Amino acid sequence: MSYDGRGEQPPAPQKPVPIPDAVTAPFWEATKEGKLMVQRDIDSGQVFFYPRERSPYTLSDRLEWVEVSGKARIYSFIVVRQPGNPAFTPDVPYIYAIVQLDEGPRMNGNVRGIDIEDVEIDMQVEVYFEERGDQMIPQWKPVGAPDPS
Amino acid sequence: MTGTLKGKAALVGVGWTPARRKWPDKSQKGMQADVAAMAIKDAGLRPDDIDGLVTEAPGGEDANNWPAIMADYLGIKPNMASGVNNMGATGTTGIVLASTWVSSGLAETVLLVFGGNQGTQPRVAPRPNPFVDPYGPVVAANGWYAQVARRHAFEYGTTDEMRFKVAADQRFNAQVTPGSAFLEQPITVQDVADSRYVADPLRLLECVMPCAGGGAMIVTTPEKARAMKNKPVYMLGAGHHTDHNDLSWADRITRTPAVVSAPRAFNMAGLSPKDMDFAQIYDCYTITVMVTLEDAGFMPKGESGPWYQETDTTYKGDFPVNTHGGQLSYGQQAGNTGGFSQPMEATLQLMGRGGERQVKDATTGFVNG
Repeated sequence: MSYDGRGEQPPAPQKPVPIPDAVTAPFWEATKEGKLMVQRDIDSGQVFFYPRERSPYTLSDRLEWVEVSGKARIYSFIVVRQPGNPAFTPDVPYIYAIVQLDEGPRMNGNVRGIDIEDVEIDMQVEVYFEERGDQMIPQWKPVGAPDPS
Repeated sequence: MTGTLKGKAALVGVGWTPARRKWPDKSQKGMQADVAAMAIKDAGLRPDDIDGLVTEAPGGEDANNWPAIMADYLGIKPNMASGVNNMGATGTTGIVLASTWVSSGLAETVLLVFGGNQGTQPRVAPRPNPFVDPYGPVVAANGWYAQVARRHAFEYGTTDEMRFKVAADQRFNAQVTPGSAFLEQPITVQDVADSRYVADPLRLLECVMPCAGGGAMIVTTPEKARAMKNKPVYMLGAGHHTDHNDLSWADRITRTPAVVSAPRAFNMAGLSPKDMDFAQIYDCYTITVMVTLEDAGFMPKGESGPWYQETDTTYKGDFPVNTHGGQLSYGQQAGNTGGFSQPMEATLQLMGRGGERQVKDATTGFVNG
């Protein structure tokens, strides 16, 4: 199908909405309740992320979901000026960061509610949840800051 | 160490196309057949002499069973054949695999062949990642290595200008490398600084340009190699290490698997970084070269930035790195040929066939993929 500019307009690109599966469903159910959860290996007590069917520490399948504090530090970040997905183009420039939870595991996310020039590695941030389609996705903001809109 | 590859395999032939942005009249099979023919001829062999095949997998034109597809296309009937996919390390992994075959008698003379036609072949689309995609990343590897560059600056004080020197030195080398995509396009550190951001802090001239092309090499036994027409280049040591996929989950993103694989290779060889006449280092980005050189022990961890500022790494410099220009300045050729350019260049250098970019009196080199 082609769009000639006279008739139908191309659909606006949509930001991806996570699609839960059997492994990740508990994570996404928790974010809807405002909770950030990671998995714990019951045998070793170690926590990890991303969700798996077995522990990367022991290969045990005795796992449980536990809530974490939602506090983290920025481990590293980039400033996105040219997103891979054009749905994000209206947002540029923005921060795409790897954050390290106080409990250890790392997550990817955006850091909002702060000027880009003020973002630094090791800065303390806390989670908030952004409505995205039928899901709530974890995002990050300076500690104590109001939730960015 | 009970087993070793030291002196038990030799590189005896190279086939390598120029890097071009597009090669519209060439299929992937045709591209690989071209370089296979070049390498076999370069070694002074005939197709019947090949009894082992290492290629990539999946191929682009036919995702399944690429090694058999290529054996069929080339009209060879190898006793050992396998597809390798270790991303940038595919080519170097292939050489290690071929070396184990010839040292154990599973095969005697192995053809390694990679290549393709950038942009005209299907790729296997990555599965959606619900913990990455919703946040609007840049194209995958650009973002990963930009994160590494930012973190390296934080941990070690590495400046942007230190990274830019990697790109400028390699571009100098590419000016005398026939087939390079950037002939007659020298750049300065300032040019790199003036190029646009691809993934802040990485700038355009710090990132590889995808190209079409292919590369092939022949690995054989030392006994056979001694009777062949080229000066053999012997395997002295090898090491591999895999420790993560997505960099987000690496223990430390400024540390590469070379921190394990390089000492293993040096130990097998009984050599150390100071014994190397050059290094050919996988270079999807400037920072990739820097962290790998550190982890391989060419300088203390974190000091690649000051080292680059003090060191001429061109082919005629204090310690040459990526003498063909690397992928950054030769062009990153499709089908995993990019990371195969480093061992091809090392082999040509050690055969004394580096032409204008020949490193003087080079006898021993370090290769990373």
